[in-house]
Amino acid sequence: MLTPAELVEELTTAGGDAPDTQQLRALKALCRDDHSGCALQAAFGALLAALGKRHAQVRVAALQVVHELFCRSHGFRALVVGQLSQLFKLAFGAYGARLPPPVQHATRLQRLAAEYYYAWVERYGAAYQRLVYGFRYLRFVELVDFKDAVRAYRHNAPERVRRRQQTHADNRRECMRRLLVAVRADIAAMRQQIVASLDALERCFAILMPDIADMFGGHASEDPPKERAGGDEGDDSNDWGDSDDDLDAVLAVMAANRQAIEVSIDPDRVLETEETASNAAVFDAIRDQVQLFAQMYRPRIDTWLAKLARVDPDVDPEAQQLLESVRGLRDRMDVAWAKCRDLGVGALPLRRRQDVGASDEDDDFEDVPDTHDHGPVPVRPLLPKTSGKPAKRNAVFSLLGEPVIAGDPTYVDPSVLRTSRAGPARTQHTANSTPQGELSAVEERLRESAPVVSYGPDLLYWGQTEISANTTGLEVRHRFLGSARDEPVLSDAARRGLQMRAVFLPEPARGPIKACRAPLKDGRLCPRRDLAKCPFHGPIVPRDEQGRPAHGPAPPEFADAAATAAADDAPPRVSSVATAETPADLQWQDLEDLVSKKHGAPARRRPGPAAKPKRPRSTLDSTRKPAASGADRLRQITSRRRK
Amino acid sequence: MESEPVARIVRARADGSAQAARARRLLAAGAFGALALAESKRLARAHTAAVHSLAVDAAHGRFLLSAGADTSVQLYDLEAGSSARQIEPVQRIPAGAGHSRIVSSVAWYPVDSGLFTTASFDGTLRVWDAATMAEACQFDLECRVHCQAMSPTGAHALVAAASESAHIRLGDLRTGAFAQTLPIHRSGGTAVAWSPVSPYILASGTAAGGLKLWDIRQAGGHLHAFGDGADAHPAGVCGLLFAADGRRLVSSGADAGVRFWGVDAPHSLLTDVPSDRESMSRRYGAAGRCDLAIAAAPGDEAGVGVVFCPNGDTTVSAIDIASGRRLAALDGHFAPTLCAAWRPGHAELYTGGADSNVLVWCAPARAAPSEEATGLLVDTWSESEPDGAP
Repeated sequence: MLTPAELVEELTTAGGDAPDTQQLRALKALCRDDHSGCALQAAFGALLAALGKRHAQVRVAALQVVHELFCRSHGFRALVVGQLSQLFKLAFGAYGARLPPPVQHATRLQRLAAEYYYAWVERYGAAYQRLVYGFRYLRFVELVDFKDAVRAYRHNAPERVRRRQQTHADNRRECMRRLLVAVRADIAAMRQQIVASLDALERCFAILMPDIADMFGGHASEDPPKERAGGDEGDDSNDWGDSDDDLDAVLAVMAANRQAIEVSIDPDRVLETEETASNAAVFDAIRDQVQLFAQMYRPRIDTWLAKLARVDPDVDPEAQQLLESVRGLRDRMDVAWAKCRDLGVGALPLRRRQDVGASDEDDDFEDVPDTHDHGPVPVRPLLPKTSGKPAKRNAVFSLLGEPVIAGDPTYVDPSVLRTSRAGPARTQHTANSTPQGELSAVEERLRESAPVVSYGPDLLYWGQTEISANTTGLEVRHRFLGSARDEPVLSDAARRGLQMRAVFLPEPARGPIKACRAPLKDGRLCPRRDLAKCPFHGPIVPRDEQGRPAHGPAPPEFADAAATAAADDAPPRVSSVATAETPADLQWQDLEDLVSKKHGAPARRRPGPAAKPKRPRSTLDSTRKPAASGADRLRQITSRRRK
Repeated sequence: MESEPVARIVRARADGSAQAARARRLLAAGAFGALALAESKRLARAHTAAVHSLAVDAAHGRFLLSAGADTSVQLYDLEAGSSARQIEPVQRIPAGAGHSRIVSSVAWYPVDSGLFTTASFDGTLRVWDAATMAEACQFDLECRVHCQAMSPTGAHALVAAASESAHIRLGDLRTGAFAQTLPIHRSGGTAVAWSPVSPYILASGTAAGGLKLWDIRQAGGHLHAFGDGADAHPAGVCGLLFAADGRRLVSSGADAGVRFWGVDAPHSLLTDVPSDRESMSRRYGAAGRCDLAIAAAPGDEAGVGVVFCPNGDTTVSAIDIASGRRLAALDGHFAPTLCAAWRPGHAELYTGGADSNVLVWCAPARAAPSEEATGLLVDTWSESEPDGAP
């Protein structure tokens, strides 16, 4: 038995393109079976040492082994991820390290390393972040060329899929084989018991009732226990077993006359065999066996069948035979089962499964308390008493059909109930109850007068005094949803806003905007379309084809013209000093010039009265103008400091 | 290196040999030390070169900024992709659109997540609007900027920038101009950190290894220098961080040694965590600095905490503040680790490295893989193998 280190030594120094499969398998088996991880550790240490050998071929072989183990074991992956930089140095020649000779193996080592590493990142990058970081380092800092690796990875994709499917199929076959072996062993163990039970049951049946073949096969010694009701077959029944001549005569008579034979058989009462003191032991035996079947054999057989049905026939040719034999067992059991049912000794669970029709009777029974008050208990028909023994016992309500229950006032027969329900009783009931009727009338009136609005937030929050807000708690202070710290409810204002209905008024429809159509100098009409007033031709007025106003010139135009005329006619400005009668009439602007003249200063040129007053010129001149956003930020800081 | 097993701590507590506070601290530290790569969460690779800086916003703990050598800045919404397998950045400053050289440091505005600042080797420190990723203002330092920081107290809007020049410069975001200049050392500053309790206390580290404490109201000189005459880190200071109480200072050197200093007692070293590997200078790549992350156990004022320090190799050390033990070495990167950021409230650690990855670490219990992944975690030995027994 070799240690992992020795195996690695042999694997890496053997030479050849690929590591020896047998030894590789042995190494993998060693690592797999050693749960303490020591083997993995040892293998990893040996592989690192081999990767550090001054020979490129040894490194290639070591890298191949590393790749094999990396794809298998999480523990090994963790070890490799911890020593990635070492691996980069030895396999890629990163960190300025040079790969050892021979050259062709060194280039192969680099190519293989890129290929393997890319595959690792693609496959395991999601779980081992460091692989991704390492890939970034190799790709962008060491500038390792991964193009070939990517191509190889893509190229291998169908191969990988095929291999995965192959493994899947193998696993499936293996699984089926194991399943088949288990089922076969199970069957072998149980079969004897089941067959013995079936045989015992059949012996019991043979005691209790004759075989069909015995019944019609000409043995007339026994009285046929079959009940024949409502037919005129009585003459024929006694003739079984007579001589052939008689039979021929009978047949002749039958052929000559048209005869009708009605045989009606109650499916529940096929057999008349009752349990008496003499055959109680047989019935007990049957019951025991049935119990055994219902609780043990039947589920077992069902699971066998389900399992065997899943097994592909090509896995094992014997599977089909096995399936057939189990089906045969099940069929035998079904026959025996039917006989038991005819005898009335079916076990409860199986009978439940077969009598699905009983469930609607159970449903009816549950409504009984409701219908009790509705009126007098209806006279129910007597249960059919064609036989001495009461009919089948109901599984849930065992008293059903007992004469005792007929006297119970709380009991209503399901059939009566069914008819009463089909009738109009229920609707009548709701219509007749007066308060409800009135209420609905009021409600109807209210409904007619109520406005119909679409559903919106106002209806959602209708009548709520507190609306919880920001229940997420993710952000303690939310801009809109408020604080989540003490009481996460919306403020009153926000709540009222939510409870108000937002009504959106539609924009009033506008007709087409008329053109100005005033005559232009070049003979065309003004094409401008303004709402009220053209900036060039005044208000929009109706105009004829030549562009003349239809109703004469508009009055606003007149007013404008009059205003300009008045402006032109205004008298020239005269100094108030010349025209003033009292000192109050003097204007200070005129006086100012006089005063400055008196002091020898030159008369200031004063702008006209319409000119806007100018802001005083700044004494400060900021030479640098900072950018807008930055200036805002700075101003904020400054104001914050001054506070 | 190994954190103490829980059973031993509990037993020690039961027989009275461990005090309650100590047992609690050990348990919490053990939990921090047992971080593992999150299997259900992964950040998309958005950077094309080394990630030099990470920042989780302090206001919500929801947004992660990453910046690196490809001059881009990526903004991740850590709560957006809870169902997705990979979190994509929601916003970004594309490479070339902002800085023209590597971005050495990125930090959130401490008060809200509307602003962030970046420092770059193109000599500028820029302020960005996080909503639009538009530049709001820019400070030109005219030499490589290694580190920048804003006061977590939010008392002022000063951003301190440590650059190759011999000064720490404080820019005021309100005026867009420099407000203060602190002379450090001619070797240039590599790290700067504000006290979380006092808005005026600032610590600075230089490439020569000096570590000084400043009151920014005094321009004349520093309050004191750590290290009792010698340099705090002979190889140079790479990362600097105040503990949450503001009384201890964590510094990491270029040799990946981590030291803890008492702010009030500058001359004595509280704890020295020497580098566990042979000394090596300049292990943090081009930026020459690293982002430390500090994680404190919630609701424990005893100062239980762990510092995560990128080691410059592929690991990030988790170091217990109180004892100075290395609890664990988180090995996930494939290239030197450069930065770490702790996400408070979620117990998640984000680390960035020269392999341009941002890794997510969390407690192993929370790192439970998805259903799809669980299927991949089982052994699939084929049944056709012969049994071990011949």
